[in-house]
Amino acid sequence: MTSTPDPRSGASPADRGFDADDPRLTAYVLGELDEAERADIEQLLETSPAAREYVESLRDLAGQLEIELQQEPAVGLTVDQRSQVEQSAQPATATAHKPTRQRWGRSALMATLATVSAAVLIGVFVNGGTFFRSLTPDHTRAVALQSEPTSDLAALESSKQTNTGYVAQSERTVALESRSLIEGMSLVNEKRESAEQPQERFIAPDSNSNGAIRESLGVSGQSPPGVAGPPLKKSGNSKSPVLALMDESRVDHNGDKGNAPAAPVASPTPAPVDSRPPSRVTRPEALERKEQSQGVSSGEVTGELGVRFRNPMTNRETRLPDSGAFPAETRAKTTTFASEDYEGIIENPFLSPFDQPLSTFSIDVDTASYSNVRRFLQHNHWPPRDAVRIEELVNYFDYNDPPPGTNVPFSAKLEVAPCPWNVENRLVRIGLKGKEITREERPPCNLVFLIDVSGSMSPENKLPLVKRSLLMLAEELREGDQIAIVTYAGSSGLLLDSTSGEQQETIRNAINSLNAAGSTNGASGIQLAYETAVRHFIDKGTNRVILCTDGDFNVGITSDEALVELIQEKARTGVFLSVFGFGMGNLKDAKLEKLADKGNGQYGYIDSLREAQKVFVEGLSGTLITIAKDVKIQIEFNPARVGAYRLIGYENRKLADRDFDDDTKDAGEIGAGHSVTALYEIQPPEKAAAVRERAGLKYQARAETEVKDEHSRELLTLKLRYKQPDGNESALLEFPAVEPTEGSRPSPDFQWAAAVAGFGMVLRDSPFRGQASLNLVEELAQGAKGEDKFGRRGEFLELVRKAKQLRGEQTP
Amino acid sequence: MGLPGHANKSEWIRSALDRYEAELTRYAQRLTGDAETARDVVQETFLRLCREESERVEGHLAEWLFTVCRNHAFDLRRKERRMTTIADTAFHDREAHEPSPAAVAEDRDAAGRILHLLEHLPENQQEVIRLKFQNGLSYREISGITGLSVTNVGFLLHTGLKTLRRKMTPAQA
Repeated sequence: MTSTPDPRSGASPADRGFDADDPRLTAYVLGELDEAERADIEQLLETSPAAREYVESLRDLAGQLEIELQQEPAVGLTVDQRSQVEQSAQPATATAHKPTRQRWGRSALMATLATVSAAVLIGVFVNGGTFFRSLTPDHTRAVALQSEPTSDLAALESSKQTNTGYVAQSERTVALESRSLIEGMSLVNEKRESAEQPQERFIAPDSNSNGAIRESLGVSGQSPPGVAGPPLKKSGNSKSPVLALMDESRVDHNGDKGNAPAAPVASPTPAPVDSRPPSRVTRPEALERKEQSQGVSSGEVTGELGVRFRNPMTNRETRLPDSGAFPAETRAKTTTFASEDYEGIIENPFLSPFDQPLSTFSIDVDTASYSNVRRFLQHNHWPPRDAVRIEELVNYFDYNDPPPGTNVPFSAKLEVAPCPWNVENRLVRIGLKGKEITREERPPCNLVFLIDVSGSMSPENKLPLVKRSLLMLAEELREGDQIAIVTYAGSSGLLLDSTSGEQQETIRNAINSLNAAGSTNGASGIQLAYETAVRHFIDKGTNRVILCTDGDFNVGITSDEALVELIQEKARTGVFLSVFGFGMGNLKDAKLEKLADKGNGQYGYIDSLREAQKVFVEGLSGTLITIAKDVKIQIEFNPARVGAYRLIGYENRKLADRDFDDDTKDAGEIGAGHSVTALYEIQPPEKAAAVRERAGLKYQARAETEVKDEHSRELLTLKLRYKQPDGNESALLEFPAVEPTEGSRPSPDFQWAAAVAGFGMVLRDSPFRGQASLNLVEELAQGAKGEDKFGRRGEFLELVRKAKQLRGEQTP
Repeated sequence: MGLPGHANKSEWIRSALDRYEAELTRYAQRLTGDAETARDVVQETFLRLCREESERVEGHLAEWLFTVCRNHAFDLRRKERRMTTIADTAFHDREAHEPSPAAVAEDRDAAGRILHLLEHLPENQQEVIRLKFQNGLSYREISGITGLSVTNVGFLLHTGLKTLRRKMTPAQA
């Protein structure tokens, strides 16, 4: 990678009238210059193209170094070492612990790898088993600490032994072995549970949904799924909610290409994570023996595991195959790339409308994943697979769906056409288009920027980019608007108290005086930001805290729960939160997304001035103005037309079906002019029936023939719920979708969305990618590029070609 | 509601571990040359952190950790008379001669080439480059950790980058 010779630079830059030995050039790139020096360098750059090129090449190099260096593996502490540290941090048990060296054997590399693999597995287990929580490692640990009484340390120990031989093995083998580990663990687990809280057995229906997240974040009001709750409203669905929910969380075990509908659940009682007979008694015994020989409290050890698992590794090494070797629940995990955290994504499987006639999710207008993926590709890196959230890729682009009429905040369009990567199947595109609000119509806004000025923000693509972004935004402000700036680092402060948009000079000076220093404590900063926003609250206006950070939100003492609680409470009072990630290397992607989600705001990733332009100038009203909130989508599929369906992306936005009509359940917001696209891949009934028959499911096969044929042309019905930004009651919209008529051609928008989704699946190496290839993606995108006013679609094509280079694929 | 203040020391230590454990062991392994010693050094660093008042470290935690880690690593190195093992010098000396054009072409696409080039730089340049790009520390923090002046840090970084840049684009060399 890295070294495409720069075609622009010919002779040595020193010949062209600037001093290449000036260390200030590097300091400029790294954001280390003071005001005066920076002005000097900027003047030089104005006048000397050679200097510009030189600085550009330094910047490029800096980016490469950052990515490469942060991928270097780190051994981390051993489990024992870490728990000793944690113990000596507790005043009660602060007996002077002698640091004893844990001998794992001489081969440090092997030990490391084993530790890491084991930790991944156990991280998986903690996430996916009893304590079904899909959250950041921090949180996983917190949960585990409260409630985990047994022998995960032993499991780690034993998995180490099992795993030592992994290094040279194929992913497949890894999957199989780790599966047996998980089984072993689930046995232990089961035993424990029977004595304790039986309701914990219920597997969360929507492992990635808001519901699960909300619950795991400690917010009350969410009963264990399947235990309580209203019966499903749908008549004709005779199943208990538990059963219906169970289905949603299953993944098919045999369908590599995802063409098998999920197997039915045998009984309404949720099965253990792995339902094979408990033949492997040996392992749990071994676990217990180990446990006795360890003098460490296992609660802490579990905590350790969640973290151990954060050892920096490249994505390719950590990931487990997505081929259905595991039950879905065991595979949710967080992957770490460099010191960036990404929440694991389990792609939605194909589901049968017999098992599950409804598909419910919250919209998502985040686009961070796209700019993040772009950043990786532009630096010649294949992005970590969990950094690729397909819906965020698709939603990065504008679509030409018709604007809504006057009475509704957004329009909805449905389009059905053959699926480009699987000709037997159909692809359904659902396009929502938010009402446009022009610059003039924009209601006054009360903005409080909360800016991370910690030391890690100093590089050029962080704080300096924040400043330039803010300057651009400031120009868009006018009378009636209010802007304030709060900074946080070691201490937090009100840099600019709420100031009218007219006072451009004051605002600009404040922005220019931002400087990176200190380490981060976001907690008090965010409180101050909210206080400021509340003090200057504008009725009928936009009230928003906008967090700009590289993701180190709380090195300090804050707990995620308290933070989220604060954000949610403020969102209820009308102060929303948007989150923008800047720079790279430190990005706590999973966490930032969640904060924005809870704050009724969007999460974007600003990697360049161009992206800043998109978010803060061209798309400003969309960024600032929420036109509808808690927008939920529910699709009912017609089993006579649909054999199986699969929602592409939105894994962490799934909702329980019953939450659709529940106005207390939070969902996504849509901003002015925002496009939201969702795609479903649909298998025809014949195909699904054949699969079912092969599986010997006689009742399912029979039921199919009894389907009423009244609405036979309809594939599905789309139902939408939304609230006005300041409302508490939702409105309902309904739209049916029918089979495409013969010979109709898919629209360019349809093709574009398909191309982007296909690209995402290729990047993720999705088991559902079918015939999708970079060439197919390029072909589709090329044909659908259209006018491309802002050059974004052209840029996408460049990324596809870049990916081809990285893969070594040739353009045909 | 309200967010907890500096309430909980173990919470604080744990978040410091979460944030810095991996980075510190990576750094320490560079300094000491082997994983186990690195772990010991990092464990000791965190144990010292446990004994420290959080207020005294607040605001410059990263700098504090790296400094303690570095000092401890050098102490050990001195005690055990370990030779400096920054990178595997012998291995890289072997690579130092000009590679064939084919190898260059191949190398150019290979991720990680830049790291090979990095290993050829003087030790002090490597260290500041790593602290900067691997750990995201500022010049001032690096200065605090290494005892070099801020100006010197800037100079070493620039010189290192310049050399890397030249080697990455042989056409211009």
